[in-house]
Amino acid sequence: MIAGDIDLAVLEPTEFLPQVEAGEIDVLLSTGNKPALHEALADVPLASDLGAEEPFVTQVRLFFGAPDLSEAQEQYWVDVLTQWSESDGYAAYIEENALTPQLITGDELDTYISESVETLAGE
Amino acid sequence: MRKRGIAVVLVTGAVALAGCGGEEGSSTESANGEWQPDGDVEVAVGAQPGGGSDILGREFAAAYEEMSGVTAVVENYDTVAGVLLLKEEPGLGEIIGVGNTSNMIVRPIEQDLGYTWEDFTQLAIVAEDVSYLVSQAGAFESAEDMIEAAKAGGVTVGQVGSGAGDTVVADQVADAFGITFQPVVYEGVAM
Repeated sequence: MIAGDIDLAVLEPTEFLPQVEAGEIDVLLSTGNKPALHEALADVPLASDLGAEEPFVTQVRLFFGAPDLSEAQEQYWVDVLTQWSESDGYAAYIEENALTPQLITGDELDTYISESVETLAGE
Repeated sequence: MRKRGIAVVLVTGAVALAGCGGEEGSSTESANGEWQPDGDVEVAVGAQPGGGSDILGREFAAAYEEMSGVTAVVENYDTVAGVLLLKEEPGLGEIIGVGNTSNMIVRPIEQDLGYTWEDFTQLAIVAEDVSYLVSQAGAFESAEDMIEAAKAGGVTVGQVGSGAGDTVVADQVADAFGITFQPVVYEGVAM
C-alpha cells in the first residue's frame, strides 16, 4: 500500500501505528463503536459518524474454557478475568496495544457472540 | 493429551464420590461450591508467538500467576488445533483458551473446522481490537472522499484472503455505504 499498489488496507493498530507516526499512511475510518483512547486514533471518524447504521463485527479478544465446565469453574475464571480487567497491568496492556477496553461475560457474552454469528452468516 | 484425559476422569470420579458422601466436596471443588485449579494451569494460544492472541495470553498468564500464586504455562498451537484441544477436554477447568473473532466466530461459519463457539464454555471478551481503513498518506482527503471514490469504482483494498477478519470488515464497510471495493489478495499483512 505504501508503494501505491493498493488504495486501502483494513488493519489493526499494532499493524500500522509506526507508519502513522512516520507519516507514511493516513487513518481514514474506524469500524469501532466508540472513539479509541490512543491519541493517534482518537480523532478518526467512526463509521457510524458517517451514517453506517449497523454496528460492525470487529475483532474481539476473548477467553474460553473447555466444554461443560461446572458453574463453579466458570465463575472462577470469570472472577479472575474480571479482577484482571480492573488492574493497572490490564490498563497498560490495553494502552500499549492500542486496544479498546471491554469486559463482556455471562448471558451478555452469549448474546454478543450469537448476534455476531447471525450478522456474519447473513452476508 | 492422553495423560490429561486420564486426570479428568479421576477428578470427575472424585466429585461423584464426594456427592455420595455428603457435602465434603472434592479436592478442587469445596462444599460451598467454590472451585480452585488442581495444580498448574495451561493458557492455550491458537497462534504463533508474537501476534495479538499470544501477547494477550502472556500478559494474562503473568498477571494471573501474580494474583493467584498458581503457575500458568502458555502453550502455542496452530489456530484450529489450539481451539480443538479444549474440545477434547470437557469439564477440565485447568486449561483456558485465548480466542478472537476470527477463530471463534468467522472461520467456523465459513468452513467446517470441527467446532463452533457453542461447543465451549465462553468466559469473557476482554478487549476489542478495532479495525481501521488506512491509505497511503495523501491518497484521500477524508473518509468521505474515499467513499465517493469507491462509488465511482476502482478503489482497491488489500486483503489477506478469505476467513481473515479484515475481509469481513471490508465487506461490512462496503455494505454500510453501498460501495464496492476491488479486492487485491496478498500474503500476510497488506502493508
